Amino acid sequence: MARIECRNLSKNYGSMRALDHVDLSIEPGQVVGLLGPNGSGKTTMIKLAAGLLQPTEGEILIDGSKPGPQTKAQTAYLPDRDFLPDYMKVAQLMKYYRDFFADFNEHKAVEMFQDLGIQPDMVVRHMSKGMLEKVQLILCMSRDARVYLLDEPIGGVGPAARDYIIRTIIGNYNPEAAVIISTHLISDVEPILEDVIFLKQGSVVIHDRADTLREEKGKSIDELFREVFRC
Amino acid sequence: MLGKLMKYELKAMGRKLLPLYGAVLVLSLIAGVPFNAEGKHSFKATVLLFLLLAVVMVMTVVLVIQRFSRNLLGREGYLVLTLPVSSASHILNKVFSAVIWMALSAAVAFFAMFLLMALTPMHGTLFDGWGFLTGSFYAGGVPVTGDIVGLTAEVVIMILLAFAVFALMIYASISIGHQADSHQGLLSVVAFVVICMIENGINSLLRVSVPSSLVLGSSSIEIDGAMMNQQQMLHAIEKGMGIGILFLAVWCVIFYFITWYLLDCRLNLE
Repeated sequence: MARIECRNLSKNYGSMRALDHVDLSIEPGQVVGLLGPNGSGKTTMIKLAAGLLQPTEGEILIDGSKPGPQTKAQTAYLPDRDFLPDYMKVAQLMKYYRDFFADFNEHKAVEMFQDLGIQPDMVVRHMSKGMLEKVQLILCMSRDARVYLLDEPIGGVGPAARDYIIRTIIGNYNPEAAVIISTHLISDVEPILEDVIFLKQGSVVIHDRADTLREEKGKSIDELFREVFRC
Repeated sequence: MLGKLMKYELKAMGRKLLPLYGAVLVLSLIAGVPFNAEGKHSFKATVLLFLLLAVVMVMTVVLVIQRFSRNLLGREGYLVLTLPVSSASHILNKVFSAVIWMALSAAVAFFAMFLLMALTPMHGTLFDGWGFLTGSFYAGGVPVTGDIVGLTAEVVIMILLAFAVFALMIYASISIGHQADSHQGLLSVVAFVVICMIENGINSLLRVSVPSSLVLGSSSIEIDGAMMNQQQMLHAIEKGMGIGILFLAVWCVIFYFITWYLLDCRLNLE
């Protein structure tokens, strides 16, 4: 069974069509790049999978089920924005995740926080943007989930932080899970992608293995992206 | 899961309200205790106390609104609505927590006023009021214990249900406002006003007529020409409260389902 399946999936915001009859499936164990420029529908698709939006047409299934409490128990979602309660400390956040997510691996989270020198009593509102992004990523990747939805995980941080984030993703995800990474910064994530999906104005224009595309097109995914989405 | 949600919800509201409660109680002591040999009490402290009580009430309502609009449909919704918890649990969590804190705020306000009155020359009025209240629960010198317990329970249930209806009206209004692409706050306010008008209108249509004449005797009461003794009066009040509780429960169910439908089937978190 596909980990994530979109069947004739469409989403409108008023008169604007954000996703247009998307059909695709993502199998377990795949690291998939959901690539496209701003406004192509990447965040919309991820939020539909996370159960934060309702489809206008069609459906999206996680392990054969519509998004709900069961799928949320197995889906680790990292939004492209700050989402943690700003009054909480790191230790309280770990307890929160432990309380609600049975697959949260606290030992792994503690190790990663220690590696970065992030103290358990640090408060979210006092963290820098880069530190907060790392805290959010660590909490997400410390879950042994079946689906990881990472929306622009490396946007808005410097090169050193991007390297750390990518290493953290690759070093900590459940190998049987499907990992969806949405980004427009292709060159940084290309080395870790197995499959790529190009989204253009809400439609899938390319969905193939990264190696196959590089062989057939004779260029990197980044170069292909610039060609497909040339202004 | 509901228990865990409530643990965090109660803590989140308690962070803001508990310090206010402490300030209110301290001020009520300062205002109540005489500070000079002539037994004068601090007028400024009394005024501050009343202001602070108003702040507590307003803050409680503001927090009830914020905990729904920001924690569920705002930035924190990206975490809270991805928890493996049903929409029903989210709503029940908010309602139960709101009722608990509204009840606590009312209790703190009541206790602060009681403290102030007990410590100042107004304690005479307090004792007279207490005497009247306890006297009304005696019929021919015999305490009507069962009715006291029943009536007290009904009053408490009615107050708690009224808080729940108020909270659910707010949640339904915010959920309706959330459906708009823009000006969601304004639409929520309009929705709240409309809901209040509909609720008041229906309540008025269904309300039992209020007595227009009331004569208190030493052991009997005359209401609109009908004679009742205290026992009958208590039973009449209990019956009226039972009907009132039923109305409130029905409103709770209606506003709960509006909120649940919009949160579960029409959620679009942007």
